Amino acid sequence: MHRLANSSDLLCSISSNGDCVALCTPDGVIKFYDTLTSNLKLEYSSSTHLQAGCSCLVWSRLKRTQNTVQNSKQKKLKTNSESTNKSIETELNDLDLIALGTTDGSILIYSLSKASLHTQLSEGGHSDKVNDISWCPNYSDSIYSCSDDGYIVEWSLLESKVKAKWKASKTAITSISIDPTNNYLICSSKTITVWDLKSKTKVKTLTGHSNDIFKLQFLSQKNQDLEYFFSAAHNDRILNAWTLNSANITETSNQTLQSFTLNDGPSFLEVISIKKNDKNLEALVLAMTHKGQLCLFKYDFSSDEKSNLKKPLKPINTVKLETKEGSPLKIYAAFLANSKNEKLDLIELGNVNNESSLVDMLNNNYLYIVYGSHVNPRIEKIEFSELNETKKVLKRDDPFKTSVTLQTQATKIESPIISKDVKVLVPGQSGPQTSIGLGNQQKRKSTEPSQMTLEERLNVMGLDETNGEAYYKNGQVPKTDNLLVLLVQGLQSNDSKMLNHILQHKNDKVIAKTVRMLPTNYVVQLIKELNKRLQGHAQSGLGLIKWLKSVLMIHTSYLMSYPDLIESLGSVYEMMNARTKLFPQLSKLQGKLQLVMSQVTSQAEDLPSGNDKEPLLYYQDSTSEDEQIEDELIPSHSEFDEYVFSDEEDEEESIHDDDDDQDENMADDGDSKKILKKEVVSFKKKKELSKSSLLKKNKKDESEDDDDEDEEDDEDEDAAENGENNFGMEDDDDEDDDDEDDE
Amino acid sequence: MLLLSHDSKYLFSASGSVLNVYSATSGEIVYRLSYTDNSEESNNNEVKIVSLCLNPYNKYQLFTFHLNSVICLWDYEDGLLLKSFELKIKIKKIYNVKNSIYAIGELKKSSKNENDSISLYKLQIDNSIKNKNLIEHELIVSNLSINLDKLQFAIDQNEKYVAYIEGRRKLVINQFKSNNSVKKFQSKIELTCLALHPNEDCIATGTTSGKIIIWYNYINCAHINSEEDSNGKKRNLNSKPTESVLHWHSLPVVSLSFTTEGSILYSGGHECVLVKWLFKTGQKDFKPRLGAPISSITSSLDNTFCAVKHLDNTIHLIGANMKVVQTFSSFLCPNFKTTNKDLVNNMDFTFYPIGLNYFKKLNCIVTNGRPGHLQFYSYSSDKLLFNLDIVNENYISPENLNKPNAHTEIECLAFNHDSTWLVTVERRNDSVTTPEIKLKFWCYDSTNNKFSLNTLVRHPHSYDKITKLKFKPNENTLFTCGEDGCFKSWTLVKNRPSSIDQNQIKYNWVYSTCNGYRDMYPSDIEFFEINNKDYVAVSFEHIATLWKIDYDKSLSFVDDLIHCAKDDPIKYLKKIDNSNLLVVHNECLNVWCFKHNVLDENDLLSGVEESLETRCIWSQEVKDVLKVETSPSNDSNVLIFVREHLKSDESLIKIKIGSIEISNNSEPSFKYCHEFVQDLNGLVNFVVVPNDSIKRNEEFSLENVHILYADNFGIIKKVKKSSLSNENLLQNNADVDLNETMWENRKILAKNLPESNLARIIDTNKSNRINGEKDQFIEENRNGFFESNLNRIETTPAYLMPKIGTFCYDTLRSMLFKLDEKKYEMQNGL
Repeated sequence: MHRLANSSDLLCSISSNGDCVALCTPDGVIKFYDTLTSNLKLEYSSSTHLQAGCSCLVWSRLKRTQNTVQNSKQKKLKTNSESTNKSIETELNDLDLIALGTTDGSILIYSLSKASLHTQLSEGGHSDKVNDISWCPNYSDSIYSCSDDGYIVEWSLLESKVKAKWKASKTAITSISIDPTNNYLICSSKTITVWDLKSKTKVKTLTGHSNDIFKLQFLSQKNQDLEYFFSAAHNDRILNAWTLNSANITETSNQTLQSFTLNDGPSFLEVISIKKNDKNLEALVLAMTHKGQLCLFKYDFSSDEKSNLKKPLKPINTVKLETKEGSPLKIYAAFLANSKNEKLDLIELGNVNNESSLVDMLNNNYLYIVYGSHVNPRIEKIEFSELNETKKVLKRDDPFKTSVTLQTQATKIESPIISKDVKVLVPGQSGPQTSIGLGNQQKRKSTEPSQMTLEERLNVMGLDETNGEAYYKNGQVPKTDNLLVLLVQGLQSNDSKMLNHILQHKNDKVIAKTVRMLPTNYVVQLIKELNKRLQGHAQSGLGLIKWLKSVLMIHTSYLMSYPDLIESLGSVYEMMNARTKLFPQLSKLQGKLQLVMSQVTSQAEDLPSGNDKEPLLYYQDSTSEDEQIEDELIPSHSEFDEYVFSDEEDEEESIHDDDDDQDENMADDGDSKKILKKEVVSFKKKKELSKSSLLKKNKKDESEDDDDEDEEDDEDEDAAENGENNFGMEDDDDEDDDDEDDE
Repeated sequence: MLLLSHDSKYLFSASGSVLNVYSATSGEIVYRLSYTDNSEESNNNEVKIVSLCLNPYNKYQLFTFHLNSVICLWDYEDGLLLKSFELKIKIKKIYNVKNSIYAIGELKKSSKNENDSISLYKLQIDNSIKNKNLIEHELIVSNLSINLDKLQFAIDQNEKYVAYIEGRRKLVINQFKSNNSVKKFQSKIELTCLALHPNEDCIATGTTSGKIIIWYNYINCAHINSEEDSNGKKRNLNSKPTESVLHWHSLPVVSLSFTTEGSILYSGGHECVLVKWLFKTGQKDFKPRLGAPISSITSSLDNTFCAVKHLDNTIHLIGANMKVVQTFSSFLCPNFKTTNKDLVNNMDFTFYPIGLNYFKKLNCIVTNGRPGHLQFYSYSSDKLLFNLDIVNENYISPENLNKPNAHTEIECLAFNHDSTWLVTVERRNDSVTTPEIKLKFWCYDSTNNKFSLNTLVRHPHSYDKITKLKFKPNENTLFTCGEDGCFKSWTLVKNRPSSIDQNQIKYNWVYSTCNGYRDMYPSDIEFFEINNKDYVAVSFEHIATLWKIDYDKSLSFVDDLIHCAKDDPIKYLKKIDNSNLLVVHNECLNVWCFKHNVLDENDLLSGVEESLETRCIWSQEVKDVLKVETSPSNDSNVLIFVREHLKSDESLIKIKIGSIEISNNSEPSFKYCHEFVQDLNGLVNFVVVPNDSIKRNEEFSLENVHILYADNFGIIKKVKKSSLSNENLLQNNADVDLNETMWENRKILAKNLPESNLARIIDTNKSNRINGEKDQFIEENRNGFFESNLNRIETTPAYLMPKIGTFCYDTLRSMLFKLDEKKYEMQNGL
């Protein structure tokens, strides 16, 4: 039995809009996979799958159209019969049907969108295995099936009944197909028979294969009156192209138009017509061999019709899949899709050079292949630009070794792969990293402990122990010694748990001693380890800084002589740079704050004496306002600047400001002194607030240092004014309080 | 509006005027049902579906109630409109209790009775399909004052009373069967939602504090008036209803749902957690991390699962074991109602800060989805493909809804020319700690459809925000603009092979250059190639600068292009072709032309620098530019989206789409080719995606692209083709006519499923009963027939058998031998 030969094959069928792949697994379960994401959508096993397995899978011809508006408008214009067809079409679209032929002769029609069996065609049908099913190309309600019992049955989908049934062959009929005009039916066993669909009469018989033909496929386009179809037979290393004269069927030639050679028997056939310049018709044939190799053929129908005996064509492209180890992977099916991921059976090209290669012609389209195991099939989109070689071998992961995750499919959440070797860049890492020459690298390696020979390692360990013993004898605390051994072991084995434990020590003495005893060839490794750990959050690095500091201090001399110093420790340096970027600014801030505080405290100390004595002179200024009281106490920004920077511009400005201030000072002296104590307290609170604004100002000052002087003056004044305003605002409350106190 | 069919095979959800019928097992839309012809017009308010319920007399039929008082009866299994009729009530909501349908609504103004208040009506719908317009309503309770947006109303299963929440704290029981006695109970905490126990007299109410209060014994106790209480009058012993409290939620409870038997109560709220309470014991079970706050819960009639709808428009089916069985989602709306209201009302606020992006490899649109996720939305099938977890953080609901927690959000995104690299920028700024900014480079592996993290950069522009990412076309170089005043470039380099396996070459991204200009902030970047030399244009506030990329990838400043006033910053730079640059200011468009001066050989020899001539050749004022896009196939054609305020109505804006074209000799031409009116609801994001019908070497036209847009409603729409070409564009409000021929034409594919043997028995018995007297033959052979079927019962596997109860009676009846009436009479006579 020929069927046994490929019983290991998976039945695989691609939906006509290309968004779903149906696979029949050996245990009779039909699985539906989404082509875009290769996720399992649905599983179906018929209630009789154990008695009657699935023998063929055929999707209905449908195109999901989004523009329902257009459809409905067209509908009104159509005649009655067409409108029924149209409504069947919408029905088919909605239901998303797939026909399953079974080995007991019944046909199951399953609706994918409803996820339920829609109907079962069995009564009055076949008595043996259904070999092939063909849906009508023009959306009428008929489907045709052929079987091992030699009958062809036409079914009505609207009524789920047999429309017609006739004996077409004494032997099994292995495949069936309807031509695009819906006039002829071709069916095959070893020979191909052409039937007139209306009269149900045999028109012609064609021979060309030595084995049972398992697939007949029409080209979706016809060339004037000529229609073309392709055939593939089991274990026959040849595919044939035939022509059918639809106007006058008897004129059709009995011979094959063209044959194509494969290096193995075919297992899958898909034909796409290519229309060029509105005239030229070509066919692109995708054929899969039993070994799972994909062959692409191109055939131009208009090329030459002279000679009857032509050489069989060879594939223009073959695609093979291999695992990384080199064992072959089998491709089950392939189809062509456009950029919208819709399956194509026709490609229309504009004005293209006849000479242009296939890859150029199809660069807007994609080739989908289905491969892998039936447990975890992969559907992959290949761009034609990848198929630049005639014999392309693609390397893929072994699908048997990867795990299946069903969780993602239910919740629609995809988590990206985050592997351990992610490169992390932190601020301060400058310049592109150039790859390092080989010689250099080897040198570097020789110093790495992981590359040392066992003997060397033992020597190092032995050295440690002797060191340790020496310390024991001297009566030192053994703790550090233990830590050292652990540290060395940790570094050697790269045991992060052990290192975590060791690096948690924060006692300065312990750290210093451990580091001092550390053999020099571990120093660099320790620094790198510390660097890696320091790149996380700043908080976690507090303890590690102590380690880094003591390593750098104690082993400076070794590090200076270390040959690959810049390459291996550059990142440490950059990290330190980045981390301490804000340090100068912070220390400036600290200085300013100290200055302010010292001023405040000194004035507070003066308080009692100033309070007791009567002021010598009162100056009453009618324009003065109470609001200005605090301005004296809180030095304005310009005053800060005066202390911190001795730039000329600042001074000018501050002098200008001071003038204003002095007037106010004079006026408010008496009042201010009374309430000074209170002010000090409230000021301390405010200090916290003003910190942030000061910081910002500092930044600005720095960035503008290099800039034009004019701009800076403007900016500074603005900022100073802002600052004053802020303080004024904040002080309003306090002022109220003060007033109350006075009363 | 969410409804499950009685056998939990289908899920119904209404969106606009369209009823979507989903299959629960496959997760696909089976039918999109709309009783008007133009189902695309979802913005047509008249036919919007208000409510839906199953036909109480036929479980395979469904009623939809439309805003214009039309009721449609559907056969949802076959997608057929059975009939439609009109009602005199403006329906707001429908409640289905046992065999009757109750409607909350108000009478139409046209009717004589000018009773405007919202009332409860009982509807009596004639069940026969042929008769039309036979619908009656009966007033039951009038003057209801309830909040219809929330789930605050329930009708008792015995149809004796209704319970609803009045105001904020009052629970009202209205016993309409017994002299309309109304009882009001005051709660201490504000009530949010309500659910009635299916079998017992027991009400569960959710509160704003997160407690679920369960009320018992409210029927028997007297009506308490708050005023009487304060007067200190005598109270009945029985006067107060018994209360018990279930407490887990910390935020207001939004939805409550009992299972059909009432043993389990589901509750949900903003915590994104579904809580399952064993009602009697108070034991609880959780399904956490559902991704988005829960807005409503519906439990299925057969208790297999409950459907949970979320604020981001996702629907989860959660099985009884608290596992997600199926997810239905299309375009996600990340509006969690915790953001500041002023911000949402702002015209430039968007829930999609990264805008809409087209991802070529999967032919889908990528934008912000769940917090910290990217959603991959396939517009051709209107389905969410998946959410990609970029920041790897769980969304934590805030303690207080008015103070949202800061979470890391993706702010910028870019794909390189062949979509193999994805770059994201995420930022978390809680304005307390230093902001965390990460630049991530993801590599897309088309063999398994996975993204893998390649390089992670912390604080790429020190601690400042990144405003723009752009890939250099056809090259793996990324440019970033930051608010620290510089633009940086990043390149892909070959990594030094690791010591473990020398063969594997690894690539990762490194920082390459950094440049700035006059301490101004860069805003956009565009690339050129003039005379085989690479140039890059960078806009800084109102100035565009031109830089040359040297062979060592360093940049050298060439020229600056200043045209507009300082207060009109540049929003976009777009290359029209290699010698023309479109500079888009906020309110002005400029086209700059670059001309490469051809030098003599002498000049080259003498080492004179090549010079580049720049001049502004065209300028036009426009209003409020939203976005500039190029067609994906032909980048010399630039589309400009402009926003205008309508003077007539302030809540609407007009969006105009203009295209700019440059031919070789003449001036650039700019004209508006399309406009439409849009609700003012935040920023409108646009994306241009290729239409597949593009053929090569063909002139570009708007017909070749789809323009999709989304605003803060979370619905993605397509700019219509017909109106694109048409000049008269405001014809959106097409007349609504009932096109019944559409449904008459519909053919149904017959279902011919094999019946199980028992079903066949029941069927024959039923048909026997109907035409029993007529068919003598069957009657005579009934006993023999039954015996043969008894054998079949014995051989039928147990799992194929229907419930015993359903055919018991028929079987027993069929065993009786029916006496001939004449014989019977004779016997009696004798």
